[in-house]
Amino acid sequence: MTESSLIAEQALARVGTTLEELHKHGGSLLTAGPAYLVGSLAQGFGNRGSDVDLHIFSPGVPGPAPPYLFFIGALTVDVEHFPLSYADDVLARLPEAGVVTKLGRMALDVPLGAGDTARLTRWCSAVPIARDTPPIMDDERRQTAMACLLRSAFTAVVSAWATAELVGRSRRDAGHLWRVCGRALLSLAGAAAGYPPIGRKWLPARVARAGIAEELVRSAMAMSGSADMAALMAGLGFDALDPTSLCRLEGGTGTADVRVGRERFHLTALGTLEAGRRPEGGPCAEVLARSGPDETARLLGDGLLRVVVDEGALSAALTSCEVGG
Amino acid sequence: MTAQAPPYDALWFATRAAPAAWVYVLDVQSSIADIEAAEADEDWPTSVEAASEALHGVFYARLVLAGYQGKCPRDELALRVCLSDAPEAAALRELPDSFGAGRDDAGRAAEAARRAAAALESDLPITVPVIRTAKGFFPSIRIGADIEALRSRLGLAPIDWMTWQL
Repeated sequence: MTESSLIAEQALARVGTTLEELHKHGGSLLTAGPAYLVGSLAQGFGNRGSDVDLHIFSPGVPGPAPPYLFFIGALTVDVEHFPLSYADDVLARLPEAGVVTKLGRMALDVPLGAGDTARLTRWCSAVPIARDTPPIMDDERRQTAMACLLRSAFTAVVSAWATAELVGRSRRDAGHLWRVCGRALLSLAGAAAGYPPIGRKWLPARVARAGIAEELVRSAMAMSGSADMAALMAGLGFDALDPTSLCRLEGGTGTADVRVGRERFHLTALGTLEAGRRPEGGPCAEVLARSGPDETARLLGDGLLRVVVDEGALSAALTSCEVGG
Repeated sequence: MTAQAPPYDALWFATRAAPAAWVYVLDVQSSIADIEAAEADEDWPTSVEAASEALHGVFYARLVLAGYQGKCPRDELALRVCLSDAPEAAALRELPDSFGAGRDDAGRAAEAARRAAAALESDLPITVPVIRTAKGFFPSIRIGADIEALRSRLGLAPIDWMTWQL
């Protein structure tokens, strides 16, 4: 038995099945091309309720296909098919340019959308389910992929931090958003230790497996304001970051300006038509100065504005945090 | 208009209730199952996390019932949970920390999630079988096809069902 088969067998044992049983039930569905176990089981997590997630790269598949489910007793097997060269094509888009931070190498560009970023995370720990199937990526490409995933986790931290900071300036209680911020920070630390974000429910397990110091976990979860966050970020090697200067406020998801004859309305995320144009976005400081902190928080909470990280500004800030830079 | 009693407004049914039922299937049902799996392993931190995911699913489904259009980005969902008066948002804000959670923490979180899921289910006009099971998969797909037929009759575009999940 090869090393990858052994890893796959151990992962499948957690849900009470075997490679042999998987092939018996999956039949030709699993032999259409190189097939890999991905997701929580492949990353060493999962429990007896987990699905078996498989990615198969197959000639003749025009694009990522919708998931297909089959069942082995009570066990769900979730199969996704991709074009044969899909992973190689995604990997070829990863940027070479990076910066070495205290947390490790981070990409200086973000070329992938959310879907491919999630797939890349899965491919970093993918396990072949057939003998003689090569790994999806070699070690060198895996390092490049991890640099990209670390950057993506950093972007998530900046977004959560800016959001908490903006609401924290209003009279509303931003406590929940500071907890979200603490989670994003722990997720970043997990990614830096080689465990990029998988399903949200595995965050405590991922943080434990990554060996994140208990003190950092306690501090992150007890965070209650920007000073706490800035101190923790400084400890991770990112001094003097101002999250609101790294983000802009733009029109909320699903909102739009609507014109009917001479009348102007805007469509809200909840599907109502309100009179007048959508609230104007812009740099956070500009919106805060124009609308005030309470109104800015209301517009964010109603989904009329959303926080968008300025990736170019973030790359410049990360460069200034380069170790030895 | 978040919930209705029969007779249902057909447009409400096809554009709000059906997508909300799908959120229930894809996000709530599966997270409730995750709670049970984590409880069986006595993995209390993961159980609290699964309860949090279930509550997020209920909160999102209620937004859809209230008219929310499409997928809700996670950052926006966090903002809405922070600022909303909805009972599910309050329950999420009051959840115990998952890090270092014990049996009692997990029990309280699971109870909040199950209560919210049951309340949502009773406000939905259709019951969809548990989709990620051999028994429920094809009946669920059939219900999806029936909803598509209703939407077509009402002059609505086909649904991208994968939109309606977190």
